[in-house]
Amino acid sequence: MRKFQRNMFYGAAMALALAVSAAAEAKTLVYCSEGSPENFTPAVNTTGTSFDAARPVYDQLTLFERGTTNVIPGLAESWTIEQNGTLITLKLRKGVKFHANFKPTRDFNADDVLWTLNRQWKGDHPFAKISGGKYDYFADMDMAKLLKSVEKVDDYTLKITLNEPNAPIMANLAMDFMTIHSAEYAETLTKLGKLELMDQQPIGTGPFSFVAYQKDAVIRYKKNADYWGEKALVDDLVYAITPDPTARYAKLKAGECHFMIAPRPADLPEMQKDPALKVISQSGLNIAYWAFNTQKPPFDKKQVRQAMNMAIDKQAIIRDVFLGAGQVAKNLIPPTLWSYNDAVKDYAYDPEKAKALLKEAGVTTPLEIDLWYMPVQRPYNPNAKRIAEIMQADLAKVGINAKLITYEWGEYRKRAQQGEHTTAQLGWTGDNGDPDNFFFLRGCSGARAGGQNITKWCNKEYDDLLVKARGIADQAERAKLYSQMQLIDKEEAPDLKIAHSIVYEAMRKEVEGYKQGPLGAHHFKGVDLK
Amino acid sequence: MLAFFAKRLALTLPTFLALMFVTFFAIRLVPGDPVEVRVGERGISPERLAQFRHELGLDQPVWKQFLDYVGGILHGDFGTSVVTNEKVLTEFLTLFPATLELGLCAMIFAIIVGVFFGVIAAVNRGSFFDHTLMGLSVAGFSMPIFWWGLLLIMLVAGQWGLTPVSGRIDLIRFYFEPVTGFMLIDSWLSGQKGAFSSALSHLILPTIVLGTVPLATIARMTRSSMLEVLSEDYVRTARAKGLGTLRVIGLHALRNALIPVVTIVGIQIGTIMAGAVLTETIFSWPGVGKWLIEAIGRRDYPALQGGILLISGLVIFVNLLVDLLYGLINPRIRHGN
Amino acid sequence: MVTEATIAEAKPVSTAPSPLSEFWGSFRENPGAVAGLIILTIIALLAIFADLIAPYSPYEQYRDAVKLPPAFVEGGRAAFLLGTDALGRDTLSRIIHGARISLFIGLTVVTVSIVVGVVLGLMAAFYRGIADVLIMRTMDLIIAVPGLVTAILIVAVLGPNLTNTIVAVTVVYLPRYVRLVRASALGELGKDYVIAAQVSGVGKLRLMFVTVLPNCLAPLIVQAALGVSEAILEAAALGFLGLGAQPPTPEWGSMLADAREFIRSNPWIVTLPGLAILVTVISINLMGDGLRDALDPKLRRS
Repeated sequence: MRKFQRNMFYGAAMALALAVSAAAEAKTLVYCSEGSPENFTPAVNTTGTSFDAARPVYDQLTLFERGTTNVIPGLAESWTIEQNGTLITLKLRKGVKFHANFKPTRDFNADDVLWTLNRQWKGDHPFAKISGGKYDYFADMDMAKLLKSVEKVDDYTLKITLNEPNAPIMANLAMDFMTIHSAEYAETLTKLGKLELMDQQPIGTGPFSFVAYQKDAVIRYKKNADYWGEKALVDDLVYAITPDPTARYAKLKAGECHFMIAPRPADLPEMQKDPALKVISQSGLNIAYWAFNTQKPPFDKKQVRQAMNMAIDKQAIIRDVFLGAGQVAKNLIPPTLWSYNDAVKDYAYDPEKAKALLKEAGVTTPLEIDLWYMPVQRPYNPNAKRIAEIMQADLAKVGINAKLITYEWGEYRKRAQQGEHTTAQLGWTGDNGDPDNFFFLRGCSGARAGGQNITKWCNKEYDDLLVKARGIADQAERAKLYSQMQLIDKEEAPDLKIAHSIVYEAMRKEVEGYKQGPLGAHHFKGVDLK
Repeated sequence: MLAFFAKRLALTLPTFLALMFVTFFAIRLVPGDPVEVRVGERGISPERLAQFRHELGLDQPVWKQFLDYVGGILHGDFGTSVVTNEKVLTEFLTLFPATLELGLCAMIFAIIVGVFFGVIAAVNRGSFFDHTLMGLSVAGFSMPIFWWGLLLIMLVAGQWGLTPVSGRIDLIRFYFEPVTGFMLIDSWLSGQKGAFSSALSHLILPTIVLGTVPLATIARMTRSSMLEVLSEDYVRTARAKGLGTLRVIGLHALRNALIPVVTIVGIQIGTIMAGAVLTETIFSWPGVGKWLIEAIGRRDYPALQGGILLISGLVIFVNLLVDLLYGLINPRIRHGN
Repeated sequence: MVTEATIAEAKPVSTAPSPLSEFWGSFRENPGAVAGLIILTIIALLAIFADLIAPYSPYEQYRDAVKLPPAFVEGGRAAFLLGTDALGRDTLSRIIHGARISLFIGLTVVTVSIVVGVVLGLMAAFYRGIADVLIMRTMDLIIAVPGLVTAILIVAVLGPNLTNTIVAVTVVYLPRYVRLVRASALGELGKDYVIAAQVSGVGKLRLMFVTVLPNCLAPLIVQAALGVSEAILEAAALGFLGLGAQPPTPEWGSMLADAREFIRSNPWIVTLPGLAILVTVISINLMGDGLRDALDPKLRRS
């Protein structure tokens, strides 16, 4: 018995050795990622880590062009929008094959789209409750409210009827949660009684097919030779899960991986000097801000809020907390987004003037305030605690004693939304590259208790413009309104805009063709090793 | 002997029950909840929050949740993780071998090195060597292991490049399905050239870090109990009879001197478990210690209470075993008590 | 002092050298213990007079002097002897003020543990029965869970700050004191002097705290000395996991945690706070060893 087992292992080892020697000629791209995915179905997840893990395997109806937020055809070849934007007819791509990990008998068709939508949309769908059954993005993008009906006209034509016109819908379809699954695979699993495999052993139409996953260790994919679009340039793709950035860097240096996510800003100078490595960067689609609760004195006074803006040395924050991996923010949206108003003049760092303004506003110093900071690292804010420490020191110079407070992350957000704070740090990461996706943060509807506008600032002029812009289709028209809103925002200063982060990525010199996406996604389909 | 065992077991049962009760309620006092924590800046509508809380059974009265929980455990069901939707027991069992491997290596390292140095120090009592060793053992005993780990990573792995920084094996070069969950065994079984040495080199730093405190404790303990035994009549007689020093130490003294060391080893199991939390965090070691810390961060109630219960159960069990072992070596205990 | 009074009351006064000088005599023979005592005294003085000794405020941020290495290393500045942290705060000043926090944590934890441990331990020993079972089972419960996990859970429930760190660490170490007091009290209960006191109608409380307790103190003192160092380590570990003192408090463990990202680029910021913890804990342990050796013979004699 034991001998037999040995032989079995020996056989397996031989097979693996053969595979390895073949792989020596084949190209393997190794990506040092930062964490384990929750599973491989983006619809039930919210983290970039999980999306990145699913991405090689899947396609969506529409796609974001690599490196941009432009929407291009994906599994939907073309589409028409009629009836004031409430009727969308999709023409689906023909001859698209699902991965052969199970034995697909048919090509991709309308049934797969319906299956994908219905799982998230209809509570009685057989897969609705699998893997926790929380479809956060489907809910957040208001898809249930938006969709009136989705009809299959024939195998390659779908009619989507909306309850109201919505310009960003085609971009929504390109988001990860609208990843298209195979209805036939679902049937196979139903017969086997193993529904949960749908999310654990993914089958898609994407440029890579799934091979294996070991929690906290590694995910393996291989090239999909039958891919309908631009085929992958490497043969194997490996995600080496390495949570510690120091370890990721060590592996990158040693050539154990070709590409690493999120290098530590502190390590960047050393990396940039290394001739074997390339470091690229792009400003993130995000904002870190310090919100004042405008419903609590003395922050109900405009002068006080302006004084705060003058009291903080933002350059020091960029230098010592972001370590250069960020840029000072003056508007809510980052400069890469259309409608950014560069004419807005930021408050200069001027403690003396801040003191004078506080005096003018009738504030007696020392003033005691709360300064909340998030207990966690966010894409827009590498270290809220350290920022709070800098702010505390700066505030002390203008006679304000800030007490640093934090709560558990979920609790923190909830309390801030209830308006329990006097001042609190928070931020936002954009979803789809539309300015409205940022500006709504200062709208009146979010200012109610529990709403997302934690400044609780409700300015009629600003809010009217916000609502008006939503109803306009013309981008230039909308941009004008948004420019105006940015001026109002700066004058009223409901918050202090801290920074937009800069997202860095490091790779070995031999990696070619990688394009950093503004939405933080990692795509390896056009990437090659030289 | 059996009666002794039964008595000890009976004593641990109420402890275990109370543990179930306390962890369950303590965890529910932790602010925040598993649904809120995962939604991020985006927030969640009250209706959806209510719906999820309902699906997770969080809207039921706490006593009912507790009864369901206890009922589940009686059926061997420790609940399902809110984050990964996997059975807590399954998760624990996949991660536990990593912790066990690390813990065993650390313990073996500590015992071998500790007993060796303890004996040498005792035999050469008062020598320079003795003083140096005992000085070092105080340092080891006083070591903040999280700092020690960082320091070793910085120097041994970073500066000198002698060992890997973290993880269990070079994942890119070696790939095999886990058989036992012990990387050393699996890598050897895989037959891939270099896999075993890769696994071994990944173990070195975490083993040293986790083994340092027990090593120092064991060395001190061995030295003092060795000194005691060496001064006893029968050892002196053996020496007087002209038996070689090595033989006296090896045959007579050491065996008796090891009795208290066994207890110390038992006590150290708790230290190892607590140390594993820190060591695994520092070395990104995919074990239960790191998992537990992450579960707190994510407010993953089922994982947290199941994990604490399983780990404590294990500590209780090991202590019981040590008691038994001690009873076997030293009959006075089981009669005296 | 207490020991002196105890022995005077419990036993006929001996003509031998006073217990205190006898104790000091044997303590002095142990060079490690003396060294520990000296270092610890220096650390304690630094802690007490931190405001006078520290060259700068531990909170002042010198923004033109961020992440400097120590003065004796290339790139350091004489003005900042041990360099500065990520926000330009003087490391030396922060370490000196950190000594105050660490010693405070250590001493408070031990004091509270002793007080609560004595009360619970004596109650368990004197009342036996249900009180004994309840108290000792609870202690078993605490011991069953790995200490750090218990501490983390308590801090997670109560919220991270200095006070709750102390509470958490106290709970973790309490069982030792309770067990110790109970065991030694049980040992004393059968002795003649206790029975004599009982017969002469001494009240239970007086019997507990005045007659029996003083004779249980020696092992307690030894445990207490080691307890201070363990409490400091445990609190630093909590700080390291981000669950200890909150910013900008210069707690050693959280200073280490804050500096972790600079482990490659600025290793000094990571090295120094850890060294401070190590030196402090070593000095306490050395002293504790000396204490035990000096008290042990007496323990055996009694």
